[in-house]
Amino acid sequence: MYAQLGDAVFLVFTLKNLIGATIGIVVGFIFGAIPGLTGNVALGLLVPFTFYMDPLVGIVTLLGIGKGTSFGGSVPAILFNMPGTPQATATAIDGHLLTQKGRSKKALHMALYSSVGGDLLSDLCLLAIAPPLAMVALKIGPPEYAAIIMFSLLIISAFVGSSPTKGLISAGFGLLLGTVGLDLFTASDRLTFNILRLEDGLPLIPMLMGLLVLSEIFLQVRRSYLGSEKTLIEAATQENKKLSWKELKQAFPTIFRSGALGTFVGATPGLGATLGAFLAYNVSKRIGRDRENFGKGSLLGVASSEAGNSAGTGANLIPLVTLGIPGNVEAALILGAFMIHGITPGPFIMEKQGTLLYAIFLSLILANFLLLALGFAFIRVSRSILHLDRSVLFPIILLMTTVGAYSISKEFIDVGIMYLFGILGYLMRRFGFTPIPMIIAFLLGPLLENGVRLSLRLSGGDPSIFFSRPISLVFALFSLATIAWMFFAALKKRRLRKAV
Amino acid sequence: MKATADAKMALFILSVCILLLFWTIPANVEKGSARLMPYLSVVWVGLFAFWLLVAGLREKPLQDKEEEAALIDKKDLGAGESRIVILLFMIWGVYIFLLPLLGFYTGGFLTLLASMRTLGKRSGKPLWVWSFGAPVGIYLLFEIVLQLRLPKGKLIETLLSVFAVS
Repeated sequence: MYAQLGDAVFLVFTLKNLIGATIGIVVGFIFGAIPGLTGNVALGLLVPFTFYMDPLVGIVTLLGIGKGTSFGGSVPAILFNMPGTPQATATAIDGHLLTQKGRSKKALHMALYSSVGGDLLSDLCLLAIAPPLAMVALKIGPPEYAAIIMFSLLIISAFVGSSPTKGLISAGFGLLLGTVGLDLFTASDRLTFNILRLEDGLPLIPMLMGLLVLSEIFLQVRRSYLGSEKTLIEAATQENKKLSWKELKQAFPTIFRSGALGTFVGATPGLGATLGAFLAYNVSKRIGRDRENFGKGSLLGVASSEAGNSAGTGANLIPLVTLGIPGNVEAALILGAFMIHGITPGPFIMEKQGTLLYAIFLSLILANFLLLALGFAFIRVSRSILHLDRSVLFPIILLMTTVGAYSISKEFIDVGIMYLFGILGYLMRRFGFTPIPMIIAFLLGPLLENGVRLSLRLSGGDPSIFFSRPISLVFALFSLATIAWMFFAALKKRRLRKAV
Repeated sequence: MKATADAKMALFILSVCILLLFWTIPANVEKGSARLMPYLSVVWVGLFAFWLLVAGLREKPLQDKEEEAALIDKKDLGAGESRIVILLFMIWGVYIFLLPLLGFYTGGFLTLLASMRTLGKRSGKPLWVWSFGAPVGIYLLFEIVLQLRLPKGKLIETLLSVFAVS
């Protein structure tokens, strides 16, 4: 471990790596600050470009986007009460009230320090926890792996969107799409419709860009024509004083507690940074300092939510690298980038690519300091970014995605596939279905199938193998409990409605 | 009993599932273990679609509408302006269809021009600067920096060869 860590240090401090991290953070700032253009869109856009980069630089660039987006989203939340990203929603509660009181600079600085603090904590946890967890993961066989994937898939699908049932339907279609291509065991064609390109399965990146980037842009176009953008510019006020050392020192316990909570939530597949932010905010509101001012414009309120969401963003890598399970869509896109570079996350990653993995972890820690330095500059220029003309921006992003989809395989069919999935993603979101479970299920589907079919081979076709081994039994029971919980929650909701 | 939007959607999904189970999968997947996962996926979708159908049928349509309106408001999805999105879909659909003919650069320029005009940038310098500048930027990034050739289109290549000959 220490030898790998030592080798990794030399890989981290290179100019290319620093430039990659800087580009990622800056792109993340911009995409995070423009409401609707989330980190997923930026990741979807940049994933194809990393194909031409060194693996470490490419992945660090993408991870830098996550860091940049996490803070970038809080800027419009604080200035205009318009969260740039869903995870910045909790920041808007106190952040915008502080702006109305003429303390926007303090709020933005607190958001930056808390974001860096929470992220740093989660990165240190990643460095400390991931390798031993990967060792434990080595002991996991096909039945356990299948049960864990199944449970994660259920949790992600049930919690990601507004409706668990729709999330699960979306995941089911994702599993089906994951079966397209040559069968893993018999090498026979499955749902390829005699299209040669589909023998390798549906192309991942065009599909992701379609479902996330294109659908988001079309939704944004629709939204722009409702006039909601006007208030965004007019509400800005310019003032005021910097955050004092005393105020920052008072926030340290809050940042630490919220960061720890965010890390725990982020490391659990499917729960995500938004939940981390709200959980951290609520805990601080109940037990933290200055709790009487929460909801009235408290700097510690901003610190709680920002540390919670940034820690959650970083911790998403824990299940990804140790088990190969992407906890959210950003992690799914990072998984796509890992795969592009021939890196297979999962239990064996420490054995096979330990040095590279440590280099990624160390780069993440280094990127936090870059985030701090760049963040101050970004606060200064943030207002001008919010004035970007969308009628120019959206067509350019569409052109970039088209070129990006083509550039990977140099096949026109990939561009067509991207647009088909763009239309599908748009329609899904219009009808209340989130495409995120579909993407995660598409990525996890082949792993799940592999686990299920290998287990059945081991047991001679007896499905009781999933209930006869302790770890798989626990996760199978968790899965059943999740479905039961969903059923009873739906019943309870219905009873409450009847009572009203 | 009047069906809600969710119930109608569930019925549509169930019809797709039936189509997949009895026609698409048997016709496109070899018999045996290769069919296990496609069947399981469709059964998964079918079960939850049935759940959605039951829930949708038990909801009151009015209540459902109110909820949907609240959901739309929450997500800031808007209420009516689909026309502009359809127009944009069409512009980019034509662009993709004509990609082999017009290529990325000429097609990109024309499509950007049309898209920006559709989205409200009716005239002025920015319209032309961005429509021309973005494909040039992509050319510099892909062909110069990344050394990756993007198709210029059969039409443009033919024109170029004609000029080259003459």
